[in-house]
Amino acid sequence: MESLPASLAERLRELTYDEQAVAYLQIDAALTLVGAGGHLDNYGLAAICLGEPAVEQAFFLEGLLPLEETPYFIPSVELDCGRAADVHFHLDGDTVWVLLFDVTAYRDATRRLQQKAYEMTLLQEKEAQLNRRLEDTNRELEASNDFLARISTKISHYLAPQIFKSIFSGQKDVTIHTERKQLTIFFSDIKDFTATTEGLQPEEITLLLNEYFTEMSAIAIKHGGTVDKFIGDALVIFFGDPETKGTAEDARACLDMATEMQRRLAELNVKWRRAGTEQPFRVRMGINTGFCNVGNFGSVDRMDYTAIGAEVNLASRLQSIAESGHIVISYETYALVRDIVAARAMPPISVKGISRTVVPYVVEGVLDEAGRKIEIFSEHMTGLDFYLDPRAVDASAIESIRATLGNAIAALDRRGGQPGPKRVSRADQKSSPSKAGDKAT
Amino acid sequence: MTAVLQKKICMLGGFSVGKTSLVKRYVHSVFSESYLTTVGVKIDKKVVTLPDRTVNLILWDLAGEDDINSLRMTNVRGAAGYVLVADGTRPSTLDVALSLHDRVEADFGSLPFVLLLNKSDLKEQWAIGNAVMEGLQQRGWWVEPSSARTGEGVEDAFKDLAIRTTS
Repeated sequence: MESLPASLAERLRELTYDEQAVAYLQIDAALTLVGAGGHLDNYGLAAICLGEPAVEQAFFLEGLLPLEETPYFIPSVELDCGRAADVHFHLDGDTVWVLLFDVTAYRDATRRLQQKAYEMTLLQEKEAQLNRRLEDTNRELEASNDFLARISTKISHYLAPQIFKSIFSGQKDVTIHTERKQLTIFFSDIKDFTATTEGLQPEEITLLLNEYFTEMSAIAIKHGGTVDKFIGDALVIFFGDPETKGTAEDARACLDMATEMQRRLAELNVKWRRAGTEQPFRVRMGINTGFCNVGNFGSVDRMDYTAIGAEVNLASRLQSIAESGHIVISYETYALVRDIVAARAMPPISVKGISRTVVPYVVEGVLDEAGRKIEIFSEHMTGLDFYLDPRAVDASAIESIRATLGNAIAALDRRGGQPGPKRVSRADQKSSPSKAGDKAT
Repeated sequence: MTAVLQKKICMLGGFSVGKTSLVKRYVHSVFSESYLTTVGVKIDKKVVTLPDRTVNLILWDLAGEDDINSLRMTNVRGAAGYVLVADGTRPSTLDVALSLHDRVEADFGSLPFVLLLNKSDLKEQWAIGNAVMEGLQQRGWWVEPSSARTGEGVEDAFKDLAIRTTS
């Protein structure tokens, strides 16, 4: 400093000693405070006592004495009084000198910058954390969606596909609510089911019934029918809800379905007979068209989507008066499908809950596009399982069918009026010429 | 003047884990929601009265560790023990605390310390599993949840350090 011009030395003294509020402490080898000076009050050290242990006078010295390293520096130390100081230590002989420079303004400026940077980093951390949580939540959602999808697929097997679709798409509310709609209702039933399956094990009956219902349901769905329910061996299907193509189209679809079911049943009977089932399924069908209540019936806890009303009962009744292998329809249905089926009126019947006289019609065949009757022969009884749809027969098979039918008539003539066995035995069946007939169907 | 035991204790941890708030809670029994980052070091004194002795804890609240400002190990010189602080809602701060522990142990040997998993009042955002805490406790560490807001775990941790650094 001596080499500096007096003016500069003075200015430097002002810049450091005054503006940085320099203060000092002097500590001897016994760690006693032996000297102090400068701006001590700036650091809350005005009241320190010389001759006392240094660390009791200035507690920031704790642990630092004796000095292990010289010079030693601790930047930006905030003391009790709130001021921040750069603290410099150096050893001169046995004496430790401690210099304090006020850096409060610098500390505050650094803090403002630091604060911004940390707040930014914290925000980024928070964002990353939120993103991770969002991803976790998405994964959980996907998992529960998968679970729901699996459950709903399972549930779907207990509901008609149209009902399932309309509930799960939100079109239908799951509340007790019904509507009055014009439906075509189909009932079918296996005639003498108990007697037919008498000799079968329960497992065999289950297999047969499941195959029968699966095949018939597939045909119903193909034609747009709503499979309402299975009651034992009976099947209830309606057309016109939840989807309708108009009353006439619904009735025609129902008839188309019924005739396709008959065809398929004939094929199934052949298959089952070959597999050893003695008695085939002989199915009666009834169809009616009329206004019914359709919707959710039951309790709030357990509902059934179904149709009820006298017109539904009538369809059931028509089924019960049908011969096995035949379809009986009401006049109301016949009026809608007369251009596609040939049918013969039966004696009128009366049905509870319906004031009009009901005239049933037994379907004798379908009509082609020109309105010509295409006869379908369908007779099923003990000893006979006969179905012939001449349209479906391959031209090359006609001669063979003709021969089989001739042989069949000759066989019947030979048998004459003698009573036969009650059941066809498997051995008889295998040697019977009906095999040729089976092929023709 | 009776001889009073005086010990330097350092607060170490990542930034914004609550070191300053823990000291404020312990020394002044206050908590502030606003966050004010520490630059350099802030030194406070707390007198701990034990049944048989009185201990002055000189608390060195050091600036938090981050990517740019790494701990000046010279600031830890002379410490009798330290408080490691992690933020229980930010798992990465536990890694910072564990790394600080290793660095201090490498330079100054095995010193008494406690590990506080701070901000335990923010239960919904808590992100450190019990298993992690129990795993560290099984290493013989003092590891406890703490909250500068509610005071949970604060007094006990410092008192434990006062005992261990003077016995």
